[in-house]
Amino acid sequence: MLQRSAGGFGYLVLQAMIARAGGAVVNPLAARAPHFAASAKRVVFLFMKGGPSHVDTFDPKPLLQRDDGKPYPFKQPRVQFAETGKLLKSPWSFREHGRSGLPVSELFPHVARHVDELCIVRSVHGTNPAHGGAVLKLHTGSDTQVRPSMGSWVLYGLGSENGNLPGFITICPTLAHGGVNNWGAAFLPAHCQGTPIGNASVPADKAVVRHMGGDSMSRAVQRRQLDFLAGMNRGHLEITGPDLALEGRINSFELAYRMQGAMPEAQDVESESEATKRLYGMDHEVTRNFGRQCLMARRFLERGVRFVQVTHSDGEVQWDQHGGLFKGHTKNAAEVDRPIAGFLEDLKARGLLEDTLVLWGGEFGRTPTAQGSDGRDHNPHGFTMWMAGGGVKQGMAFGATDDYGYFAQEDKVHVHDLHATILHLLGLNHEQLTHRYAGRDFRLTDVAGHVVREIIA
Amino acid sequence: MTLACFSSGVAVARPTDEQVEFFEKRVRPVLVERCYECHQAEKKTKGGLALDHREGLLKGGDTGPALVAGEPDKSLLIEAVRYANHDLQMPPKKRLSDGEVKVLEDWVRMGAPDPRESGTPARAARTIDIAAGRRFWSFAPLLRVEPPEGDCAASPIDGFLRAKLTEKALKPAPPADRRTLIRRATFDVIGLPPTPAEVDAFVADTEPGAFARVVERLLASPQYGERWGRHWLDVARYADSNGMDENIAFGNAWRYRDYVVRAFNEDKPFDQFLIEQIAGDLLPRSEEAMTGTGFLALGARVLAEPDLQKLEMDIIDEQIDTVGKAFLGMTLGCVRCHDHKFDPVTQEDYYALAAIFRSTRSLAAEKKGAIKFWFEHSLATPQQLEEKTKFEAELKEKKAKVTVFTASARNVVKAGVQSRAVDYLAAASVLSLGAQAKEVQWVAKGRGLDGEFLRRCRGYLDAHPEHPVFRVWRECAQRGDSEGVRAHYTQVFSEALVVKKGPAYDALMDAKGFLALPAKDAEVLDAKTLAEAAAMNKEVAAFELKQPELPALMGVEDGAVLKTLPVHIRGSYLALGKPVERGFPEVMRPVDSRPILPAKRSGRLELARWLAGSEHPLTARVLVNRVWRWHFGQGIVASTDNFGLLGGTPSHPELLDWLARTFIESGWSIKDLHRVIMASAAYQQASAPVPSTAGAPDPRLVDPENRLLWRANIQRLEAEQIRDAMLFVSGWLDLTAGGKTIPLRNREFVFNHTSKDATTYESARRALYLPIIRNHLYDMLEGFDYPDPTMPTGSRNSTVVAPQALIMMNAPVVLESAKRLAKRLGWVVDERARVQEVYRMLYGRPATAREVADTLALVRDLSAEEGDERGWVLAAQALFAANEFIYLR
Repeated sequence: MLQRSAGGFGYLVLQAMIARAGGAVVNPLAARAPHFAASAKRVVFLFMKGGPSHVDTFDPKPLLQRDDGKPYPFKQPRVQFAETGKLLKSPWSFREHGRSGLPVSELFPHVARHVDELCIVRSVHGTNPAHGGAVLKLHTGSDTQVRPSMGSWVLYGLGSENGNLPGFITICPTLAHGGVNNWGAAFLPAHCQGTPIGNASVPADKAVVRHMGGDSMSRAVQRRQLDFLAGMNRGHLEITGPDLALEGRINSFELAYRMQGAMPEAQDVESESEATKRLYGMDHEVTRNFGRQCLMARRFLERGVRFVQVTHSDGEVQWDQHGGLFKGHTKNAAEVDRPIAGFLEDLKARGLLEDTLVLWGGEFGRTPTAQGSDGRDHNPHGFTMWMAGGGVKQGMAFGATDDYGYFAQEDKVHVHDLHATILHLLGLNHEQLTHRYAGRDFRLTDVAGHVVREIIA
Repeated sequence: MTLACFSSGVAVARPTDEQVEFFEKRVRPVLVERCYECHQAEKKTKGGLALDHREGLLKGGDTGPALVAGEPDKSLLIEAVRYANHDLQMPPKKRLSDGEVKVLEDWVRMGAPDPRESGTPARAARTIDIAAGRRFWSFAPLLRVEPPEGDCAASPIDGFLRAKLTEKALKPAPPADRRTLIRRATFDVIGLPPTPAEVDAFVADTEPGAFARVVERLLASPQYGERWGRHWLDVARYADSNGMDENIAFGNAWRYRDYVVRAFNEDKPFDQFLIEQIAGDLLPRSEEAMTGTGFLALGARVLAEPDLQKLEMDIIDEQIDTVGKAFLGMTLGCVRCHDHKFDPVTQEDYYALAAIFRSTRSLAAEKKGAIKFWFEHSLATPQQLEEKTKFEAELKEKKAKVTVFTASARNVVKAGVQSRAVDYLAAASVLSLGAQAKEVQWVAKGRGLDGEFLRRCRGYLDAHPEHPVFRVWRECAQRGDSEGVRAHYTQVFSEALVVKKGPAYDALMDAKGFLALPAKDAEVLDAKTLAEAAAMNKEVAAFELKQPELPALMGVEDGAVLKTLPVHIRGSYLALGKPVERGFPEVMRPVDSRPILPAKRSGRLELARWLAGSEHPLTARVLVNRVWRWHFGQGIVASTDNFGLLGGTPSHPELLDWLARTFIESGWSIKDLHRVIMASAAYQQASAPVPSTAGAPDPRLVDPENRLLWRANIQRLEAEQIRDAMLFVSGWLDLTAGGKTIPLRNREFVFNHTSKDATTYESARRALYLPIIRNHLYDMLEGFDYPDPTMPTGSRNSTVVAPQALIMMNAPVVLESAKRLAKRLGWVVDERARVQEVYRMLYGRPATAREVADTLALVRDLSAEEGDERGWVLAAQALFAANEFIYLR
């Protein structure tokens, strides 16, 4: 059912056939039923570009504190991004929070208030220790070849619930380290690709979707153009005879026109109440930008956008603190902590958290061993991501790294497992969500991936 | 070997009762609970390993026997459960408890007694039958076929096509009208619309051979190579940047692009074109031929991959996959990890090819930090090299100046901190153990100290609890006696500074000691000094940008020759199997003898010549099918890049082989192939369905996908054609050919971590010359199905989605073209004549009276809203957006 031929003419016909459902609408993205009952209807991924340190945020390691300055007592990875030195304790202290008593470091005092809603997975691991490879792996499941991103797979499987907005939106994504491939559809149908709003070098209040128009002419003028165009195209159809693609194209202009109205409205966070804006930290210089991104995300989610990604990035090194860990992580956490907490609170208050899966994390964690005196290297061997809502267990920590936080060790969750689990929560079987390309069926999880059933409520 | 040795040594021995009990009580539960899920003969045997019966354990999986009885330290099973080797850990999700590990160790140590009955042997591995494979249509030799005799068939092609149509009682469409035909042919051959004058001339040419003359004119145009070279660049996954993990400019890729354009314009025989792209560097030295090897170098690579061995095998994989898809229509990339699941290609075949590429150098010696660079052939003259050396010396000098400046500034800070050494020690002594950042800042501020330095100072003291110089500090700190600290160290340090030696002096001067400065200048120097240093750095960076670029070609060369390469089990170089000699896939060779390759060369040239041989069953078939696809919109084999079992089957197998044979006989001439195809009635027929006569079957129901070509396909223009056509009719297009067009230096970052886009697409050159930035394609191209430039693509998609409409409604390139078109039309004073002219330019036909009226009404309405000048501009934009402009009938 979900398989389509990717090539050439047959594809075109099929596209247009889908486009013609009901004889009028152009929407190959119409919502489709999942494989089985789903607990999540949509996903929002809060991506912390650069690799936040798990041992300084959500994975406290008493032995690391004790053995500061001593060598790591186990074998280090065979392939390392760079040489690291002795163990480096966390400069931040952890405190237990909520009824669950889960520890969160002082970097995230606001998120800590929501710890009873989080499912903290402390045993995530990937393969690639370089940014590009790791970012691609996390987004597409592959660090060697161009593959569809997880948002595209989700859209491919479920379609979208809003015909006038893109079904997969990525807010201020980074163009480095895989760039577009991280929201690209690769060999999936083109309508499955993510639509970027701005990029990481653009402040959120200046971020727009390209070619959404607005400035060059008035809506009335455009309407007049489109009416003329429709007449032209109908005349052309009389000559060519019935043709699904040509008819589909007539409708595509009408859909585009409606999107042009819907997008600015969805992005208009200024129409929110002052209290809401404050909740997201939009009243403060430090949190304003990421707060705006999160608030925009909520507006998209409640309008039925299937997959939203919010990237925290900056023009410097993001969360990549090879040095200046104290200063860098302090700054980064301060920028996202309040907005994320506000976002969770708002989703909950609106009843959206129940069926929205929130995912937080970076492309890898950081080593417990030091680079210089105040830095940590990339660590894909064990790190933390957390989820909330969408049918995951609440107030739970799952899996564990070793005593120092270097390697995932207990209940390991590979990136493929994470993908399998996300799809499962959306009601999709990761082994059945396939697309045939270049002679074989492809999956988001390649030939791997296990659903982590222990974290499903 | 191993198996035999164990079955004789252990499996025969009958376990004692105690051993059976140990196994049943302790061992079996672990295996059942923790291993069977993935290693059970009748269910799943991951890695080829079954653990639910004795033989399974002894035989082991892909990486060899799972255990050596009696020797836990030599047993893979034990190594895996001990979790010490990061590349071999089982169970993968959750390690066994120490107790469980010990049980297994003890068991192996006692000889692994196993009372279990033999289980079902693991499913027999699939074996590939090469002889049967050779009978599959695409591996079988080219047929020798004569075209069927047809009634008044315009070309042998029509004979083949009509035979199939007749079988279904279908008739081909009548010829297309001349305006439609010349528009179709001109876009097809040169990627641009015909001018009104060209259309008129063709309509007026009543002499026989009028269309053939149009075809010849088009094939002779320099724009031909720009259109058809672009098709090949899709297959060659051409790009001007690496994309993948690190997006770095391929500053010399354009030389390959221009080489491809030249090859098409000169009608370079395709066999020669193929050989140059795989082994041009090994031909008698010619810069032109060597440029062809850019084909092997253009792949997207994970350049920051820290695992060099993996990177090298990844590059080889990309090269094999691309060669396979481009020339053979084979998905050879599938065979890296296992025998092909569908096609008769074995892992030995893959590693025989990989050995050839392993003997080839694809990476340069130099790198930048974690980023490795691709190999390039230098074209630099001695003089250019000298200039470069001179420049580099100058640059080094400038950089040294900055270093000296910051180093001396750091020394000043260091001296300052040293002068307050006692204050830091005193302050550190009042901090509570594990003091929070806030507390540190507060204490520092109160004493005019730097919080960060203080934090480090205290960290150092805590981390060195045995340091003799700080014994007194520790004692004082314990009782909170900061004055004691002050008194003691004031004396100690002042003495030390006089004698300039001793432990206290060393501690004071230690660059990593209690007064260590952070490595980053930003955390040490004051704003003014930092600004000065930044200004100096900026100057150096500006100077660095003037670095002379040395001309070079992307390509490959022979490296150290490996005569054999081991099979990589599951594609990993950490699990090597039996060595394989260099060679070519067996199923594509008519006989079982292996090629003999030169001992001192990689074997690439021999590989290329084998691919380009007339006996090769795939090469010519794949190429003629590509050309057919690019003309007609669908191939005789629909899956242009997959001629394997899962690919499509040919709709007209005899026609395919006849074309392939004719192509080889013509000396692999692609232009001749165009002539043959375009002369056919099939190419020249109309696209509109003919009303079916009573009783005749409706072709739309019999063959809805038009596989039998009962009419011409309606085809959407490709991205470049749409963009170039708008620029062309508006008089904006710049037809300058060739040269470097990417506005970046070779190896410069397209995107570093800043996400700032330095590339522009404002050029008026043909779209072929716009930068192709992997990971961030020009939106006009991306929107209209430009293929992913990391994978070979022989058949672009042609989607209809709303974002395309948004581009036509709002993209600057559309608006600017419309503006220029409106201006260009200005010379036609009469409004009605102006409408006629624009229809002739855009659609190759005059407007009907109704269209004239509608268009003028539109112009009037828009002018009323936006002013007279804009009226025509916005009307022109609507005409660009029309289906008739971007579809070919």
